[in-house]
Amino acid sequence: MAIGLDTEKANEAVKGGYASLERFGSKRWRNLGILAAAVVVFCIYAIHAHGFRLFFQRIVDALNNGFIYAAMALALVLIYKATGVINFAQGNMAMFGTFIAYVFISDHGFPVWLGIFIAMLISAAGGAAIERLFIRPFDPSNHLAIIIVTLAWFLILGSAAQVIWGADPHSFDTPFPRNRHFDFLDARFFYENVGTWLVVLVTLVLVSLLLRKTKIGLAFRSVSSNLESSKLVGIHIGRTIQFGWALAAAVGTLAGCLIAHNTFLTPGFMGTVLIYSFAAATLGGLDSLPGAVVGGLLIGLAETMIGGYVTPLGSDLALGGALVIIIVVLLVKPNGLFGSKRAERV
Amino acid sequence: MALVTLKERTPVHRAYQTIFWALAIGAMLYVPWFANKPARIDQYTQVVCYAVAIMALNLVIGFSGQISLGHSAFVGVGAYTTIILVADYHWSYFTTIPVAFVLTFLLGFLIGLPALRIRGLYLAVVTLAAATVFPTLIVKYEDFTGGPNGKQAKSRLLPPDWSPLDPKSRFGPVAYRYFLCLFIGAILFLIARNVLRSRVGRAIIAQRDNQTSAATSGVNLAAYKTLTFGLSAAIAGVAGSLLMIETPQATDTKFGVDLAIFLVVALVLGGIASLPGAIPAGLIFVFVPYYTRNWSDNVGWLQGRPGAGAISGVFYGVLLLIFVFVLPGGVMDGIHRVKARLIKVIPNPAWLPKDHAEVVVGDEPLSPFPELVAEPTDSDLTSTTTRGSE
Amino acid sequence: MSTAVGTTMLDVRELWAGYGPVQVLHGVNFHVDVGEVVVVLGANGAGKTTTLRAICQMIGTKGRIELQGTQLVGRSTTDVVRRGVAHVPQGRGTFPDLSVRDNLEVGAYTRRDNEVSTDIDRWFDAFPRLADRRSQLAGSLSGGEQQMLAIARALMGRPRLLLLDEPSLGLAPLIVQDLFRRLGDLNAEQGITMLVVEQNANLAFEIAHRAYVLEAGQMAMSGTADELRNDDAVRRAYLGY
Repeated sequence: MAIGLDTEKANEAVKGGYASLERFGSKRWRNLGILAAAVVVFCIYAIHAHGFRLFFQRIVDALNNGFIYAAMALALVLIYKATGVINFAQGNMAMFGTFIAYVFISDHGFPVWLGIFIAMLISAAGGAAIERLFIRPFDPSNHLAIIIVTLAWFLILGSAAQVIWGADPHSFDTPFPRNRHFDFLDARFFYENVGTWLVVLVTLVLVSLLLRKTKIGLAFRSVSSNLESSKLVGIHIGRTIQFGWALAAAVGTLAGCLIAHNTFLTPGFMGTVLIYSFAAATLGGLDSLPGAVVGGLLIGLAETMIGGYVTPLGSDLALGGALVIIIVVLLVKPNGLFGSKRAERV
Repeated sequence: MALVTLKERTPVHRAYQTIFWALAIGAMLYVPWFANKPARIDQYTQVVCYAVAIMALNLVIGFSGQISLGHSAFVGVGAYTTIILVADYHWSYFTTIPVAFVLTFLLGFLIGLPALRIRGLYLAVVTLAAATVFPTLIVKYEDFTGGPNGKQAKSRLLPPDWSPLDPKSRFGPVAYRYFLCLFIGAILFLIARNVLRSRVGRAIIAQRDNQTSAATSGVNLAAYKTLTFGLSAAIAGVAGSLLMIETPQATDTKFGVDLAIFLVVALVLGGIASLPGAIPAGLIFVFVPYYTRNWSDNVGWLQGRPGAGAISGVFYGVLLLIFVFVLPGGVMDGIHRVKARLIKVIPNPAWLPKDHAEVVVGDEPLSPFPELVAEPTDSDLTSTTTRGSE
Repeated sequence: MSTAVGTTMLDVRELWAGYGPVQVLHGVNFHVDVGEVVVVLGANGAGKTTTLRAICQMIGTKGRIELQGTQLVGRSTTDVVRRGVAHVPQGRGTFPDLSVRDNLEVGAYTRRDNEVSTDIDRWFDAFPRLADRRSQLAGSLSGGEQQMLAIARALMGRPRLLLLDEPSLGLAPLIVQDLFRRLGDLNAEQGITMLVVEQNANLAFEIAHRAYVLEAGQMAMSGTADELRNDDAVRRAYLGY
């Protein structure tokens, strides 16, 4: 190579570097210990410096975002498990679904819950249609083409939303009682926040039941585990994957609708959420559904806590923090916290 | 099914190649006069700059088979490096280019290091995150970067005394900058091409095509992939510098996720895994939004809508879908197919008797001994094609 | 080891199959009668796995494959499976992330009756080791256990024809013995028709009615198990003595 570098030595050096990072990451208990110690130190500092009340309040706030990230991460992992592909259009699908809910709620006066529900149904149908028309024609192993399709839909949905509804923020009503709260242990729990947690938790439980107790759920888990054998058992691969897409679309729209009241509705409002959700899915392990949830909560906590307490960074750079987290996880524990070893490959 | 068949390395073939290259280079040199108006020439300069960035991206996506959604950050780093050094520290544009190259190379190397050892999708995630973070960094450190208002440089490059271009006319400087960018772009193209033909490059391509066989044949590519990624970032960085030469103005909105995605789209449309595909890609990148915006300004139901400009995004997306189904190899592939119907070049082994014709109208069999080699037949195999069977 | 019953379960004529431009099978002919165990012997690369994949329509094929009168060529794999063909692939093909019980349940995916749970219990009785591990993930089982699981899973679909691809691969000799004994029992007691491709001929011959020898994509020999077992060439090449 023109640079005159001894590429063989460089290759060996990099491999050695990876290996030692890998060894570092694999001592699970030691790492958990380090992590736990760091968390404890942080908590002590936070409570000491700014008081327990603020600390607790921050945790409460963090969970709000955390559950949303968990839901989006769940949608990402659903499609990843079934197809091996990351759906880059996930954020904009959720955004478009939220806008559909907005149309029903604001333009047609539907009750908020009904609007959200209808939007979820429409999103599910849309997700199913995208899979049937634009994904299924490709060989499932042709990941590049499928990713390009998701990028295309990312563009189409994002731009179409801008054309139809413009770039200005719209206000989106919350399905929960507005501005009502109760206090517990000196922290303020808004009905809205608690409601969001509960809805997401219920959704997670429903999805879990769906996957573990129904026939289509069994088919989905089989396809995620071994595609070839799924064919040999008579499972219709395309329809199973389609189910995954529909489910992911609906969950994404739900997440968008729940967060829209806080962030206001714009064509780009799911952009940063998507990045945080990627971080959450990476942290939890791309092929682990419970990992996505745990990852989401952890990222939500990290975002609020680090953003709140480490003042030079502030909240703009919280996104940068997410990037750093992704990189560190990939270096040290590439499968994430709960992912399976098979996800890794050089 | 070709119209004309040529044998490699014959005088006719060499003449054909010479004419082809002469026409291509001539066309590229003629552009400033073809475009005539300075604004138009600037557009073509942009085409060159973005073609360079897209070519850089191709090294990663087309040849390494990985996905980078963050090249906007590299272009941005290169651009800001140049503009800050020129505007605040009065460097010359030329000297900023190597700095941008090295800086973005290091950045690319560092980003690629963790992500490349695992599936390419992690690289996509990391680069997408990087692309999203970059504009926020620009805004955050506005003392340094000029923040949302951007940074401008007053000085612009002018044609030197020894060139035939008149620095005082409106045409001269604009054309000069075009040629400069073209020249630097050509150098970068040659670098990229040589890397791809080197041992490193061939190893990367082998691994793209079949990961398991590459691994079992002892080719471990961690460092190779990261170096290629670094090089790709560096070339994209220089593209950013060139953009500043074209118009010395940088803002955070120019180098965000949108740019990253559009670069990928243009690359796919122009032609993946073919370095010259960057040329149609650059043309698409600059002119599709330009013409769709013109179109949308005149279409009734879009007129006056606040978000109407975004319609080009819808166009891009739809175009991308069409291409991925119909012509996944991009425009370049289409050109090759058309060319294949007109001219076919076949091998010309040294041991073949010299009395064979040099040019054949129509098809010549692939082998000089057709009776010994069974041509592959179109059998009526029921095949599970690369399209899904359910 | 009863003698073969009359009607034909699987009839394969002039089968050409391969992977794109690489043709592996060059006009193969064989058949399997109802209730038979037929063994196909062959060295690596002879085309044994390709034969089974061709029957399941997982690769491009040309020729005739008839399952009790129904043409299989041109159908999707799902369709072939739904018509009663069960394939235990090389390397077991279990679902590593699913529990043992789920593996069995998914084996009955195409069934619409309500006897699935009874069948699952039946298999747990037949393979107590699997019953002990019913909630464990299949990926954590030993090779022999996974092979039993794979076979049970295949039979959960109550197939007409069971295809086995090198069931002895990677297993300890004692386990292989046990495995083939069970396969023989299954055939004798329940009359399950089996097509077994193997490199390890010794044990396969114990349970086979007839056998073929596949070499370089063509059937080189065929006959009853006894005939082939006593053939010198076969003995030297596949039986090791």
